[in-house]
Order: sequence, then structure tokens, then C-alpha cells
Amino acid sequence: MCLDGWGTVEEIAVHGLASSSRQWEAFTAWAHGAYGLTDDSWDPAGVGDPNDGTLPYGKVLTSIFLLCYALSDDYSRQWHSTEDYVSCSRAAGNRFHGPFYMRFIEYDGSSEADAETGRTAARDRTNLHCPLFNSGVGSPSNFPSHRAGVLLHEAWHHWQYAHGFKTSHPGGGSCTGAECDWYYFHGVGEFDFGTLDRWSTAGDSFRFHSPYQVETEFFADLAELCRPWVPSAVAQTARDHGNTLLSKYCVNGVGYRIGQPRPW
Amino acid sequence: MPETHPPTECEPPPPFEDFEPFDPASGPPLKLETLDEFLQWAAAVPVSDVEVIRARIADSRGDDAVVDRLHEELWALPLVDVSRHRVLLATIGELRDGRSAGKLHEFVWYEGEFTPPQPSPDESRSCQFELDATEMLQARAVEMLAFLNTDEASTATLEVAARHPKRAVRLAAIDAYLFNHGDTADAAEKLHGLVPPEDRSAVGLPRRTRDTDPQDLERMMLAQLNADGHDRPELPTPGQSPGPVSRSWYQPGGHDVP
Repeated sequence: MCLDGWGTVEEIAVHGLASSSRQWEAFTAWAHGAYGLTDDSWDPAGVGDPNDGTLPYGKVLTSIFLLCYALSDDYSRQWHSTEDYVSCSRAAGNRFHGPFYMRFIEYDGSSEADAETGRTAARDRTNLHCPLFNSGVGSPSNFPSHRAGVLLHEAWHHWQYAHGFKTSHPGGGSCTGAECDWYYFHGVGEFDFGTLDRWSTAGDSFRFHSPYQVETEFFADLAELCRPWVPSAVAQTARDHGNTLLSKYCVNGVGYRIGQPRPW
Repeated sequence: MPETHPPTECEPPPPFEDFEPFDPASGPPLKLETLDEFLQWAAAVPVSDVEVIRARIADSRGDDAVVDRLHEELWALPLVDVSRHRVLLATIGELRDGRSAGKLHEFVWYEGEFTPPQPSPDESRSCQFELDATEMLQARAVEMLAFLNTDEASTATLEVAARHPKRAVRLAAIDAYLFNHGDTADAAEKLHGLVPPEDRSAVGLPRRTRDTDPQDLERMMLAQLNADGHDRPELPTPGQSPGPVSRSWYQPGGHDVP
């Protein structure tokens, strides 16, 4: 069973801010459909009360709020635009992927999420598990910023499927140590805003993204190029998680670090 | 009354309306009796106003009781909120009290787990993520150790860069040592002579910050990739795509705009 509750000071800070925003009510009505939180698996997880940030439904909405509004959209420096990240992570079929929906799964293992693609006579889906929400156990994953990155990561598996690429990580089913993904470095300017969905496998113009790479680029943007109102805890978590992915999760070495190693 | 419709699945999110300005006079001082409240407040301070946190901490420098309490909190295990510990570590670093070097060193080298046991990996599931709270906090702790910028702290940081068993912690130590020594060639040379061979390419990695020129970053990345002979990524199956469109200002290879 999942362990409900705030769990982290980051959760309290972001949910408190988001739920006090003037567009919160319209946003939660929009996000419910846009992110496919329509399955009855959400019924015992707080679906009736988006203002309860201690339950998985409210926690997912808090993360989607960050995806939708937290980035500054700095055209010169950001890896990709808010529109790219939102279109990629939302459930409706679009240039990134076919339609899918999101389920909440009560589960006792360590997996945070998985994407089910190519289902027979059924819609594809992303499953979100307890480790993303567990409170009171020192979870390294129960953060609005981290969940936002996970939504993108899983959506990128849907992109892989929609475009005919393997949806597994190089190490096979699970991902351990440095077998999680290749990182296909690109210059910031090589992907215009609105073109994250594109790729090229041709020689000198090779451009490609893996799921951990998309997640890392989002963390790097959130840590350093967020809007001024974003709570400092969000930027710190995004930086720490992004640097952890860069240090350990790429099959090939990645030659940069996110942010400066100072307290704030 | 106007007719309303539920949002369709393809609509963009509602437009963002900015928040009320942050009140820099809000929040408690950093005192023994307000520590919890302070940590919670600091976590919520907007990124544009973190100078307020620094000023609030500066007011408490020299308060030994606060430093002692922060050290006690560091070791209040098992910890249940990783983000509170991140703020705690940052507060210890910002205080720059020399006595923290030993405590942070001990924290970085702790061989147990800071959190209660997490569920064991499930090989049948695709995305384990496997983030390790202990490793992430130790990486952050060595950054704060280096930030103390004393001889004792610098020596301890080098030791972490050379010998720590966890790669994320070693790389954090390398970056933090360089940062706190002005990113000089001497500091890089010292690290090159100490770190394990597999980490040498991590000495002097560029930092991607809000001020980084993207063309400079690309130039440094490409130079490093070429110089160090990193593994080339495995190519995915060729597909059909027109490819991404470059930005209007972009020059290939990180070259300056003429």
C-alpha cells in the first residue's frame, strides 16, 4: 500500500503555491483530461479533491503544474520549450505519440512507473506506482519536480513506440547502474522550440533523444532556467537529480554538470 | 449565464497568472527555537529571492548553539524527508562554520543508509530509476564541505574525489573542489593526479547555469567528447524524419555568430 502524506518540504511548498494560484481550478479541470487521469484507479487516490496535496491525485496535479508553468522559456538557453515538454507528457495523441491514459497502481516494489505501449485492442497507458508518492520513508522520488521528470520519461517511451524505435533501455527490462540510456548530446540551438519530437539518424545531422536524456534536459532547465516564483527547493532537487542522472545513468559519459556547487 | 464546456483533450493549459510578490520580511530568523520553521520557509523561498536566505543565515553566524543543533539534525536518522535534509545541508554550508568540516566528512563517508529500507528492485518492471537518497545527499554534503573553503575541508574534499566508492559523490567532489579553487589549472592538475582513471574526463566539466552561453557550452562539450574518446552512443534504428529545425541564431559546432 502507498503511504499517504506530504512527505517533503518541497511538496508542501509547491502544492501550497500552486493551489493558491488564480488559475488552479481551471488548471485542475484541464489537467484531468489533458493528462488522462480518467481511469477509476484514481478513485481511492483523491480524484475528488485536487486540493488535497497529500494524496497521489493531488501530487500528480502539482507536478503537472510545474511542467506547465515553471519554465522561463529562455529561447537562447533552454534545452526545450514548455510547449515541447507539455505536449510530450500529456496523454492526447499528438506529434509525439498516440493517445494514452495514466493509471495509479498500488504496488509494493521499487519501480516508480512504466509505459505500456502497443497494447492489443486497448489504449496504451502509463502506470504510476507508490514510490513516486510514498511519504515518511525518506523516498528519493516523492517530489513534485521528480514526478514531472518521470512523466516526461515515460511519455518518451510512448514517443519511441510511435516512431518505430525500441521502447526498452539498453540494459533490457530494468535499468541498473550505467545501463539506463545513451545520451545523444546536441547543442541548445540544434532543436528549435517546438521540434523536440523530431530526430535525424543521418550522418552529420544525427539528432536523437533517449528517455533519461529528455528527463535530464528537463531537470537542467528546471534547475537553472525556471521562473522567478519557483520555490528554491524545486531548483535544488532538479539540480541534484539531474546531476545524479548525468553521473550514473548514461552508458556513455556526458560532459557537463548542472549548476554551481553552492548552497543557494 | 454563459454556457461552459469541459476542456477538450487538445486545449493548451490555462494561461498563467503570476503570483503575488514574495515578502522578503516573511519567515523566521535562524534560531534554535525556530529551526524547523526556518527550514520549511527556506524551501519555499522563490529562486529570485534566495539572497534573503543568505542574509538570514549570515545573521546567525557565530551562534554555536544553532550550529550544534544543525549537526544534531544531520544525524537524526533514519531521515524521512530528503528535501528537508537538502535545505539543512545548504544551511550548514552557507554558515561556513569550520566545525562543520568534521561532521560533513563523517556524513559523506557513512557506510549505512540514511533512510529506512526501500523496496527491493523488481526486475520485471521497466523504469526502476533507482535513485539512492544516501548517495544524493552525500554528493550534496561534499559540495557543502568544499564550500567551507578551509584547508581541512579542501583536503577532505580531495580525499572524497580520490577514494569514495560512489561515483556520483566523487564527481560532485571534483566539481566542488574546482569551483572553490577558482577553476584554476593548478587545481585541475592536482585532481588529475588523484582521481581514479575513469573519472579523469570529469575534471573540468563545464557547468550549465542560467548564465552559460549555449555556444560556449557546445564548444566545450564537443572538445571534451573529441579529446576523451567517450563511447559513441549506439545508433538507433534509422527512421524517417525531416529532422529538427535549428534556432535562428545557431551556428554549427558552437562557432560564434559572425
